[in-house]
Amino acid sequence: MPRESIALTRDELLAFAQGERWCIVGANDEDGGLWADAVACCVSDGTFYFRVPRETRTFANILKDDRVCCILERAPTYYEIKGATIHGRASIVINGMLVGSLIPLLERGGDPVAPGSRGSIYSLSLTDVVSFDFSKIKAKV
Amino acid sequence: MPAKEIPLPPDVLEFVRNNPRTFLLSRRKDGSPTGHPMLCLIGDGHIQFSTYRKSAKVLNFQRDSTTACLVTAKHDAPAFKAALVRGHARIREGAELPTRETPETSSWVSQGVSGRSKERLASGKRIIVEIVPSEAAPLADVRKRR
Repeated sequence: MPRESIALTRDELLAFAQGERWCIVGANDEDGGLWADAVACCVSDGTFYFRVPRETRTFANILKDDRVCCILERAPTYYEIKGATIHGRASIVINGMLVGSLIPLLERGGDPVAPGSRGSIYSLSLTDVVSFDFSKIKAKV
Repeated sequence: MPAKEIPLPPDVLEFVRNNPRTFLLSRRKDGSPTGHPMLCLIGDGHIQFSTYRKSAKVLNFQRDSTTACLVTAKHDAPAFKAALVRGHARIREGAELPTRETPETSSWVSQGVSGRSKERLASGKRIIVEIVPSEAAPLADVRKRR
């Protein structure tokens, strides 16, 4: 019997991600391990963006290996848990107009660890995403 | 990354006890990072997770045990706080669900969900993933590049 799918649809993913102001970013660390950080994020025109302060280890890691994952999660109650992990190569945003339009969105929550911090903005396309929505589980206990 | 196992520092252990929301990182087959939002438990002084034997994270750890966990305050907490734990993942076959030392988890996960988890651990459908830490600290203390 095929396993029930509890993944978010593309529209659900966009609606969910648009509501999030922070994400967890995972990267390969230069010491051979993995590294995680929390950063500001937003969605604009169907693309996911996140901002990494330049003094952080995550910024240094992405310069060496741009493969990242960005994780979103919201859990008001157990059967309302929603989550998504976006995978891809972080692409730095250099278009000034685009940067200007993203800053107000990123400032909704600001940097979670060091409020007031700025940094470089990266984009990730929403193509390689693993997601789940526990409200879609049929056999609730 | 240091290879030597360390005990979780008291401040990190205390934070984890009060904040079970965890983002567990593993590596996919191509070496790229992936992440799994989880609720952690504490067993034998270690961060542990109950998960399906056939899950992507278990398959990833069987190939490459490198991991990092970011344990964070709840998504709606007024201020963001987190602890970063880096190290390796150890698969524990036949382990029992640890006594929940995280009051937040026990009040939030229903007895039905917890009971089903225990049954599936007993049947072998689920297993325990335990984090063997080699570094652990509040994120704000280690976030900046060296």
